[in-house]
Amino acid sequence: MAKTLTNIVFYSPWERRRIARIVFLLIGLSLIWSFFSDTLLHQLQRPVIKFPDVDLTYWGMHWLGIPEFLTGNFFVALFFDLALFAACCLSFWAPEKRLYIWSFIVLYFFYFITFNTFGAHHTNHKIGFLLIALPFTVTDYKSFNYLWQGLRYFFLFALADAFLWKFFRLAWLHTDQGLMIMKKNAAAVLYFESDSWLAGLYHWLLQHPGLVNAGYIAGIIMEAAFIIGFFTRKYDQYLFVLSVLLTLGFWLIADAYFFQFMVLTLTLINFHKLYEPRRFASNLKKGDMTPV
Amino acid sequence: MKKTFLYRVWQHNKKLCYIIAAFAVLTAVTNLLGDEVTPFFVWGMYSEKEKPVRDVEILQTTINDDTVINVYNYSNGDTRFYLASPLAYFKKIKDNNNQDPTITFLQTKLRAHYNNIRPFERSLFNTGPQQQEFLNWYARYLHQVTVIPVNSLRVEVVHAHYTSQNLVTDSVNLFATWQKH
Repeated sequence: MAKTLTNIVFYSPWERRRIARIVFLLIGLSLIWSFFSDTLLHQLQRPVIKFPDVDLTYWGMHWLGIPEFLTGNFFVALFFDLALFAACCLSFWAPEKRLYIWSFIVLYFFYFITFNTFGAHHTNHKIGFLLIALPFTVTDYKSFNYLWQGLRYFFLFALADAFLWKFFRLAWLHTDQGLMIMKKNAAAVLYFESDSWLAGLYHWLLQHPGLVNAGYIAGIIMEAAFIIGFFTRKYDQYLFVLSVLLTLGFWLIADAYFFQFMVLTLTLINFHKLYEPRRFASNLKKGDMTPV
Repeated sequence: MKKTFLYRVWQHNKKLCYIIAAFAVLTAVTNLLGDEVTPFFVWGMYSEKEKPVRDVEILQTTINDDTVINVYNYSNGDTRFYLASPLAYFKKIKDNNNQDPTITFLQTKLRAHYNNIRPFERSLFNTGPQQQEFLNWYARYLHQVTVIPVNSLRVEVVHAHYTSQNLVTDSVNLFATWQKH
């Protein structure tokens, strides 16, 4: 039975199993998405340009030659991709088996680094999948709950941190900051897709720069709102809505696809509220009296 | 104090508390230093002052002299990312006198200390071999995405500027070509 300790919702092992199923279903769908986007390792066609930037983890991976090894041979890459899918499916099937979960985490970590380094940019949208499996690596349900809660703090931190960076760098004072970001990122759409609805929207926004700049400021305020989540869970449903709005804003103004990062919004959902009525209903026998 | 998250974790399992606290501290340190070390992420994107956008450059690829690649035909962001980002980085290298911009950045920052990194240059950065092989890879990847056999490639740089309501093309210059042997 789940119980609430002040502001932490403790999920039971039964609920943990169902949350794991949702998590690994979403991860599986994202991997299928990667297949259709030609970005699984066996589809990368032995990439050459790398971008470890100044991230020491990437340096270590390249120094060991791991991304090069995984993509340098089609059959090695294919085997890796199959192993990644298998680890995800097995984790979905038996989320209590730590070996499956750890296998998935290690393989996804390699995929994450390889995808980013050969994509020549350190994207953040897959970070959610990299971290969300971690709470399932522990056996006791209390540790799971603390790690799940920790992940919620991580998600809150990511957005609150984005606010702090903009706040302390005075980005909110810079004239036309939102407009410049949009102009930089919308150029390719305006050139390649000049007749599309999106280009039409950008044309309209170019004529109303005040709206774009106001949208940027609104985004900063929305990011700041995530600080509240460190003190109470009461507003998690509103933070969930804000995270959806922010993701749409990132896409519109910066052409950044943060939809996969949204997997971490699962930590804002109170699954206990969702599951408990269903459990109660399934335990009822025909003819039982139900509470009014 | 007793209601705080870390205190409760401490009461439950000290090892778990150390792990969570270490993760939080290292994340704070990387943020203060402004240098990301995966998985200690820094979320400072678009916080830097943006320079005024007057002129823009767009890379346009044509395969087999007749098919212009419109990256926006691929609604999947990851495909577009792989079609656009490595090519853009390759151009940055070429614009930087064939030197990987990360090397230039580190040389500027570290000065004489860069000599400690020099032995790792070949495994960490894009030196000659990667640059020579890039267009061969790009042709292979375009084939993977478009399913069109690629016999030739032409990459052009479109120079454009913004008016108050539109993007206007100024010129188109050849950047690179590739022919199948």
